Amino acid sequence: MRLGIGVKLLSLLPAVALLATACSSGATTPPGSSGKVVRVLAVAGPETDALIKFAPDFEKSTGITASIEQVARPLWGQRKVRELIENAGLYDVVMTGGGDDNLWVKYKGHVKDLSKLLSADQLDQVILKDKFTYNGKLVGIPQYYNFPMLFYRKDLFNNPTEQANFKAKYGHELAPPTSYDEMYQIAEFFNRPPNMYGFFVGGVDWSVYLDDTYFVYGLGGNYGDPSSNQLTLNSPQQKQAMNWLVKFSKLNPPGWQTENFFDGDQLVQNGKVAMYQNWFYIWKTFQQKLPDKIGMAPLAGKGAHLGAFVATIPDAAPNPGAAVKFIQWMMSAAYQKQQAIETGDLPIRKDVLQDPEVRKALVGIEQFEKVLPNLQYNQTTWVGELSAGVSEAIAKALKGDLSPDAAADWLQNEKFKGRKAIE
Amino acid sequence: MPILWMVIGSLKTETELFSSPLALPAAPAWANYASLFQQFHFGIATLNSVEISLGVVVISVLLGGMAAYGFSRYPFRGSRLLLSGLLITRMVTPAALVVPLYLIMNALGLLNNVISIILGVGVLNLPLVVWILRPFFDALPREVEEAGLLDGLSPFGVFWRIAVPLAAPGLLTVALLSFIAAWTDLLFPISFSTTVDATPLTAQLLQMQTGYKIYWGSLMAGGIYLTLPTLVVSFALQKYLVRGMRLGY
Amino acid sequence: MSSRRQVRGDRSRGPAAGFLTWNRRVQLTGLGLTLPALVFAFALMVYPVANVVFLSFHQYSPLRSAQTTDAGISNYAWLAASDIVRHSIGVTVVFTVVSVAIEMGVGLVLATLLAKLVVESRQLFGRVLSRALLSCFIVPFAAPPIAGAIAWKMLLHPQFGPVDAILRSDIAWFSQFPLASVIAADAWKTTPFVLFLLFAAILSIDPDQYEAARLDGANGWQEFRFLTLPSIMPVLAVVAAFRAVDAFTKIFDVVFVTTGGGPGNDTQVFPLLIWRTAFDFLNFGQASALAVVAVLVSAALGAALLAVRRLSPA
Repeated sequence: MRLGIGVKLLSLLPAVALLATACSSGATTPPGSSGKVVRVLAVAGPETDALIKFAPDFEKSTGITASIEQVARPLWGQRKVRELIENAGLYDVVMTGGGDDNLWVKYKGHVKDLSKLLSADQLDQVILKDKFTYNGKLVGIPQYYNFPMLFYRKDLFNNPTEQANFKAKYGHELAPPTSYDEMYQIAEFFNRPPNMYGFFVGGVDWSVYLDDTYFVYGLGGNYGDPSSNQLTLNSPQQKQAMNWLVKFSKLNPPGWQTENFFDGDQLVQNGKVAMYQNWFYIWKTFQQKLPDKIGMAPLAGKGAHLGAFVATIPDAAPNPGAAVKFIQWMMSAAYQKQQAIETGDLPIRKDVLQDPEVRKALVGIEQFEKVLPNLQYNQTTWVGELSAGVSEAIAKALKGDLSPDAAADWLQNEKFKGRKAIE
Repeated sequence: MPILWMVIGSLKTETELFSSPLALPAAPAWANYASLFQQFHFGIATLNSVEISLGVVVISVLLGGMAAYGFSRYPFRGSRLLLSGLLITRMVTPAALVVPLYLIMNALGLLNNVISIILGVGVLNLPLVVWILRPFFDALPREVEEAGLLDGLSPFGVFWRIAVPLAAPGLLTVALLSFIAAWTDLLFPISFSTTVDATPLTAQLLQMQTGYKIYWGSLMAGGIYLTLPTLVVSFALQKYLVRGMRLGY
Repeated sequence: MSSRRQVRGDRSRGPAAGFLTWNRRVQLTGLGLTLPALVFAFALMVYPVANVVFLSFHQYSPLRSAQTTDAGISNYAWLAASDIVRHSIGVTVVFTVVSVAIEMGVGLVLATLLAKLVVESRQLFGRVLSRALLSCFIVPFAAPPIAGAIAWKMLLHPQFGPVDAILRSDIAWFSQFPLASVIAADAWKTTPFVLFLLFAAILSIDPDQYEAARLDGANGWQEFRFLTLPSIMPVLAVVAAFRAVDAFTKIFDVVFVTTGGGPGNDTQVFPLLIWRTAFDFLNFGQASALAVVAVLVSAALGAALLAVRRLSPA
């Protein structure tokens, strides 16, 4: 008897709780409080950290609370699609990946045209704005610019013994490479297991795909061609890139297969890796921690992978007014300067790029400026699946199941047979 | 015990972790636990986890209890078949079910709401519940129920006032198992929830492996935080746990 | 059974209304009690499964278009021809077989030893021991899979994991031996479970039988082979069968948290493949086809289990 009543009461409580939840979490922000919060979907990373760090400035000047959610990378893709294609309407600002998401956001994303929502003088300052414009519609504003550079052990390069040995072996000076052949020679030369390895490629899905892009873009190729709407996965550049990737991965420290480039940063700092390619955000850290040991040089290739978080406003945003204000703050000279100094990334504004303080903080900025015009991004609309396929092909080539050339052919003719660049 | 290691690890700072793996922490780094609430929204997540667990327990016990009793006392045509079907449904791959449920919940607008998680976990838990409870009800002495019927109680009254109290141990067992299932589920939260408002602890824990860096200290602390409730409850209700495990097969 | 029916028959002539009405009432109550659960299960399991079967013959990829277009059997054609699918199933099978073998093997050995210990030691000590052991078992069982997975990830970490520190190596276990590491992490959670069930089963064997065996001159090994093993065979078979099915269909959390599918696709178990196809690649048509296959496999295994259970009275 006692239990009967107890159970009845107990079952009421969660029912009430359930009702309460249904009312609160299921609904979007009720109209009354809409002016007060801007919800931003961002992915975990140093740039988002900067956004969060300086958000109080935004909050103070506009009175709007910035709710910036950092999502783990594996879950980011699904969330972006939910907001920008399925119109979930949970966020006001959605950060997308400039290098990978650009095409599908342009062709398929339900986002607002920012050229109509932002002032002309602000828009004029944005560098490389055309990359995010499609048929006159500006789909997003980048938060920063970042691209890969080459990092190497400057101290080893400057060591006379090493220089002498290198010259004796390869017949030319030990210097930052300007071709992939040279890069390979250097990596091979410094490959001295188990204390030091010549190179690092992050083996995790998205990380190895990124390394592949460095080679592919560096050689002047891409994954698709929107004008013909064909995939270009076994073009000569792709095959060369595949070959290089396999060769370089043999000079990696063990465990690289489940590591990513952030782990690579650690390995270089610990002295385990002599040279690698990575986004240049890491340059600042290297300078702070190991100023005499690490040097930076442009990639040994033509093009570079565009890296940026691009702020978009979904059509279904519950609070677009706040979203616009947020983006205005994000692209303001004040924040861009703070962010550049804090993260070491390039600002998106022409005026901030010329600011002497920024130029002083971003050592090597001249090298960056040279690379800026050559930035590339993936020319397909389905990078999630594509990159997984690419890493699968790379895995085959690495295991030796297929030669790198055959792996590229397999990718184009079997794995993604019949697929198009824009789907 | 790996869990022990997690406890120790949760109290170390990041550098300590990397430099001295086998040593005990110099001073307990409670900051790791604090970060859970400041950085990783564990407050809201806890609330969500509690809601989900309560919801699942209620559904499982109520619906499962009624169904088990029904199967036990009032076999109707086809109930045998349904029971066999029950065994099969227990074997359904959760990942397979999540796909259509996601689309259905999306259509219903219930995505990003704890209710969808409750329903998902609940439906997968239900077969096990009925499976375990039916022998319980079978084993109850019928005389008491018959006496109740003779006294003029409706069959449902017999269920509610006589069978349920008698089967209380079984119900507790099932409640415990359901609680564990709901508290520890990961698949449904990561598939259904988007914002922190509707994310329980398990998925929040995953967020610490950002792909950018892994906040090991907080991860350990979070793991312990997540484990404590189920551990405490399990120890308190050991008897029922034991019985549940045995009857599960 | 017959006695029950008799009783009911008697009651039917009792104070309640006529025979027909009572039976009707029985049926209705039975239905009424089970109906909510059935409706629930129908709405959330049967209907979705039907839905997914339907969807598997169509194409729905939100990234490409919002339409659901007809696709005939192309998803199944892809499935049959796909390397990844075959590999994934292979990985899952290997995982299941090795996992269950370890769990049963270790579980059996430990259970036997522990049972012996408990039986042969003094009464009080035995009870204390079994209490303590029980507590040990509860920890892996009650710990959420994700917590266990994280703990193992830390244990096997090359830089600060105790395993590598003790072995003085820097093997990245999850990278170089991904499947083995995943199996280890999963076995940690499930072996105590198996151990406990077998332990209980062994303890329930009549001690007199052991007496008789000892009098006949049997040694430990013979005791085990000819007495213990046959006695618990039914339980062993059922537990193994259940564990096998569970391992095949439910492995997800541990893999997702530790290797995410493993280097390349090395540890991409089937449930993970389904999830990724749906939520990473956003190809719901293909994911549905995979899901249908999973459900069919579950159904087949479930039916097989039913048969096993009927054959061995447990």
